[in-house]
Amino acid sequence: MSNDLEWLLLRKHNSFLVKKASGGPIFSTEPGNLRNLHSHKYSGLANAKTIDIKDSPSGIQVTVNKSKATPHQVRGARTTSTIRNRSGGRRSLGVVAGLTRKGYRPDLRAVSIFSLAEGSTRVHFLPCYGDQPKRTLVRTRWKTPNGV
Amino acid sequence: MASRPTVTVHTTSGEPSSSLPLPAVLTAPIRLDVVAQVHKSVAKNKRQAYAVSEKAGHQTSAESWGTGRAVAVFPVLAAVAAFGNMCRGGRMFAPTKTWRKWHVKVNQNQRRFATVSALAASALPSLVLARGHRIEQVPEIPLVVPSEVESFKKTKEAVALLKSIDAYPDVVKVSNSRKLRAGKGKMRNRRYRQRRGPLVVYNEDNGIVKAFRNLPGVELANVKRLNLLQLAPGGHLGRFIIWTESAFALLDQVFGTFDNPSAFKKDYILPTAKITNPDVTRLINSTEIQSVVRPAGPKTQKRPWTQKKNPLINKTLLFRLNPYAKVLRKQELLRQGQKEKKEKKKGSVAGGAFLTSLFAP
Repeated sequence: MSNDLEWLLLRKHNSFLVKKASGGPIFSTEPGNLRNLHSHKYSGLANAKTIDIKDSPSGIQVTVNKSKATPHQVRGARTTSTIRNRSGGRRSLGVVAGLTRKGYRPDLRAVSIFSLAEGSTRVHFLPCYGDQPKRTLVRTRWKTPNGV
Repeated sequence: MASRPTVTVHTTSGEPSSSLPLPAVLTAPIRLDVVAQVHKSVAKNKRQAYAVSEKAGHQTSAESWGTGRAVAVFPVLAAVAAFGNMCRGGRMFAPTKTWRKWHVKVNQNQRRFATVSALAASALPSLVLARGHRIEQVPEIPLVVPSEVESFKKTKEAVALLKSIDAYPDVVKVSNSRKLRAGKGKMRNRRYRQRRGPLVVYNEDNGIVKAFRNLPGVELANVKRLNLLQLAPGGHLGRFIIWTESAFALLDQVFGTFDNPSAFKKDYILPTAKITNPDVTRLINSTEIQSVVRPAGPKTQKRPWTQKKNPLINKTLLFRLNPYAKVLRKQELLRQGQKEKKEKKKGSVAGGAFLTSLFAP
């Protein structure tokens, strides 16, 4: 199935679409969408190859599509690798950078590395009092790359 | 052509067993616009007639006072106008009638096109996910279960099957989504609203309908009587369908293939796609096209030498194009200088003696 056609079918309406601010950015919540943006490039549905980065108690989970999977496979079409907790920054970056080096979505390199850095920082949602920002990054391991 | 893609049949315990060729319907063209439009019309055919009472707003003894009473000619009850749509207690504008056109006819071929499109969309995991079905753990889409499921009698068996093929999360989703309906529908036998779950398609009902029908959101349909309203609820493509093996095997007969007409629909052949390969990226990157196109230019276009200058404004460019312009210009400047000198001489003021006498105190 053509990804271009899939995108055309999903673009107008799908269950992951988030249009909250009028005239603002359109977001998308599906897994595999690294920037949670509603666009063909970042879509986790309308791409044969996607990278999903998720935080879990056992470590950061990086899920990618298997190259040999048939278009009808669902569960068996993905493979997940876990970066253990307390492993160094360079190790986790290497996992994603290695993927893109092998030609797996090289266009997502910068974004995936940034997501990985974000995923490994513990994001805490603290109660908001007065002018305090709602979301506080308690620990940051990497600086965010510019423009990402 | 490569070997036809196959679909695995999963046993009641969830293991893959035999396989079936992918029916031609599931590769039919997917036309979102056709499905949405046909759904919109077909969904109207279940409506019940309603209208306001024939007498509403007319149950007064109001009569027109005629002309000459300094009151409008309008029917009046105790000097207050009645009946009109703008009157208090009057009838509505254009009262609704039960003989409104409730049903919409859709051409049979269009209806079939929409059904076929919706079926093809239901065979693509990404579209089924995008519709909101919880199929992340399902082994394969289209999901085919053995024919023995058709003779299931108990809901307990149905639940066990759905759990073993990891389709149960979709039923749980429906169960959790159940909310009280807003408005009067609550008292009109439409008390709750909930999502749609999987659609189970069977060939022969040996108890399957009764086994599954009490599960929230689960709907059942016979392969020979597939309905667009169930295949694409709300006009949205990608319903999660669980096929029994015999129903799946019958699809090529029910809808025919691209070459052979259907066995059940007279002279019906599947619609063909406008382009064979809808993968635009692949087409652009193909050797056939890449060998003909000009090589890609640099990302930023370089200007031939410099910024384009207007010779009527830029003197250097003007003199380069027309060397005589320089001579002309020099002459013109000279002439202007002489003119100015002349004018200065001509415009002499009055003599000193005259001015002193003029301004003398």
